[in-house]
Amino acid sequence: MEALSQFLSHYLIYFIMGLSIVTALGIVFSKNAVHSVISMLFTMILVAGIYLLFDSEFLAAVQLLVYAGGIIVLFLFVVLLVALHKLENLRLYNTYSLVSIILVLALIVILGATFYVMPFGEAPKIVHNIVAGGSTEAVAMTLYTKFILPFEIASVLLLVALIGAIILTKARTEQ
Amino acid sequence: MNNILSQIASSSMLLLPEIVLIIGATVVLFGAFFAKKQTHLLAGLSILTLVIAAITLFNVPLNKTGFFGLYKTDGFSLLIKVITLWVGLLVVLLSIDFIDENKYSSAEYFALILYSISGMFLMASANDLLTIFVSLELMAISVYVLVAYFKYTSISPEAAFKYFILGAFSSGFFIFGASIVYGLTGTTRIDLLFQKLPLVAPGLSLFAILGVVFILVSLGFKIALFPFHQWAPDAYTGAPTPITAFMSVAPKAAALAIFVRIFIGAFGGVKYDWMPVLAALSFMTMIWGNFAAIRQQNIKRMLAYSSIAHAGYMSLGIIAGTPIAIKAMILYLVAYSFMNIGAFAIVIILSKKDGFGENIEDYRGMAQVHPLLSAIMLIFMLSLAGIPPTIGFFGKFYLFGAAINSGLYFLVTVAVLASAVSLYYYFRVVKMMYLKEHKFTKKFDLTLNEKAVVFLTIVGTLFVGIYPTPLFDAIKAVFGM
Repeated sequence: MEALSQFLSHYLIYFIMGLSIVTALGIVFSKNAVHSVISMLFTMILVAGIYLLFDSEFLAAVQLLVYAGGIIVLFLFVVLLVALHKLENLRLYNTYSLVSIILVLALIVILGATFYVMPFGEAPKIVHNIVAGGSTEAVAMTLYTKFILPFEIASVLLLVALIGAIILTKARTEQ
Repeated sequence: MNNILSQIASSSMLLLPEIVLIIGATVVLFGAFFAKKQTHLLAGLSILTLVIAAITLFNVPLNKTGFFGLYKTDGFSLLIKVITLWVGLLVVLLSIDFIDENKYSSAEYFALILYSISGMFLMASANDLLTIFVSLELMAISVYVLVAYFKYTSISPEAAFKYFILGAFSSGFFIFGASIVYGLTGTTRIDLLFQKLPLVAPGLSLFAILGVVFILVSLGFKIALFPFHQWAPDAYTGAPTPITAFMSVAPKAAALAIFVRIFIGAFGGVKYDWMPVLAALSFMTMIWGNFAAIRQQNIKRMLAYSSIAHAGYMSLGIIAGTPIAIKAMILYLVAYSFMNIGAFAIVIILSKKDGFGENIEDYRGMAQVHPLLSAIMLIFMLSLAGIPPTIGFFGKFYLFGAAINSGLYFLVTVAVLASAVSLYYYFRVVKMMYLKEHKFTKKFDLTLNEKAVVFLTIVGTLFVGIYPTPLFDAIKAVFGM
């Protein structure tokens, strides 16, 4: 039974990873912006699945809540608010020049070659229950003790992003 | 648990200057509630914040680490922080009239400058890839918004958008590189990476190089090295001119600080993997920056390319990598903060009302009407080109000397030849000012704060140029090497 579940989850990871690449390509190549956003939603959910298979249930939940739940909705709002049919003739998306194709292919070759020659050893083993209490407790313990400084900086960073968004969108007030 | 809490509490003392800056910025932000313009009051508050931050900065104990090794106060970070504070002070002084003339609200403007300086402080002291990344973003997001601040002009938001997209892209590179490095070593701490990276199994070294190169690309974006410099001329031209002055020095100083921290500190053990790449980038940057500056008609664009070229010179200090070279790089940054902010001050004074003075042509015949201001601009241009007796000469002299000591003969030859090319475009401004046949009709007046900035920068440029010993001694004493 244990061996079977190992075997299954092993292939499940490859399946989910492959599928997430397919949906990621869908974001880039679909002509309709709404289709792009929907592909993105599927990519985010599949990435959450990868986290889950590596026993990072906290990360998977955050991924679902923040990306699939929050950010995708924002994307959809923007897509609906912007009159995209007016921009169609501008060819804002799906424009690729020869240079960018060559650069992307070169990057794929470099990354692929590096990964190909890497002695990864055995296929990834699923390590169950790294810490007692699950990954939520582990994340909390590291985040609020060892990495308290970047956590606090992130709070200021979010404040600045908020201020910036208000500055850039508020209407001019006569002074 | 108590142990952890007490360590966090004691580490917080090291963060005092940053805390002062963030509180000050938030107080200044409340100025936005008042309908009446309070530019002078808010600028005064910002300057007060910077002064208190400076006082606390000098009282923070040196050579301490805090927050479980994530934060480090050393001489190097202190010098970078002093440079960013100094630049922040000058830019606040220069902004007062510029922002009033253009009728934009000043509270958020000054607050964002203070927030970005707090980000630079954290960058200078961060001793861990994650902390570096978060503080880098704090600095960068503040600066993106500042570039877009004049949102009712057409070029300011466009410039900010380009800067933002490319900046976000380069941050992605940083995170990708950092995740590879973390995957190989299991740590993000700079000091631990230094020990662990050379021990990565030989089969995995190609992967390590990939991570290092990704981080190199990202930081190349941030200090605008050659193939990654395209955002700089547009962002510099589109930004409000005081912000251009700010961007050309302070974020560059902070980005160079993390460059040194990561590449000398963490990747020092695998030096020969990245040095050729950085040397090639630096070579191209010096050549491209200087030759592209020749063709520019807009003075902000010209100074943008000149700042790209200066980043190329400063990267020599990182390639050399010795303590002397790092010291020379900091000296160069100090010199650059004086002469570049000074040159921008003249541009700001001239162009604050109507944008006249943004083209090099506009300076035609200025020397007859404003002989003193023209002479001061002449000195800044001499200093940027590296002609004695100015601070720019000493900056170049020590930087190139340190690079020669490390055997970088070819790159230094290129740097010297490139500086010779730079004479051409700096002197085009001078030539315009001293042309006689044209009548200069623009009327402008200097306010007290602008006079103060011009005075401080010109005195610094000339005083250090003639008598550099006190500055050297100060840097040597703080650096402690």
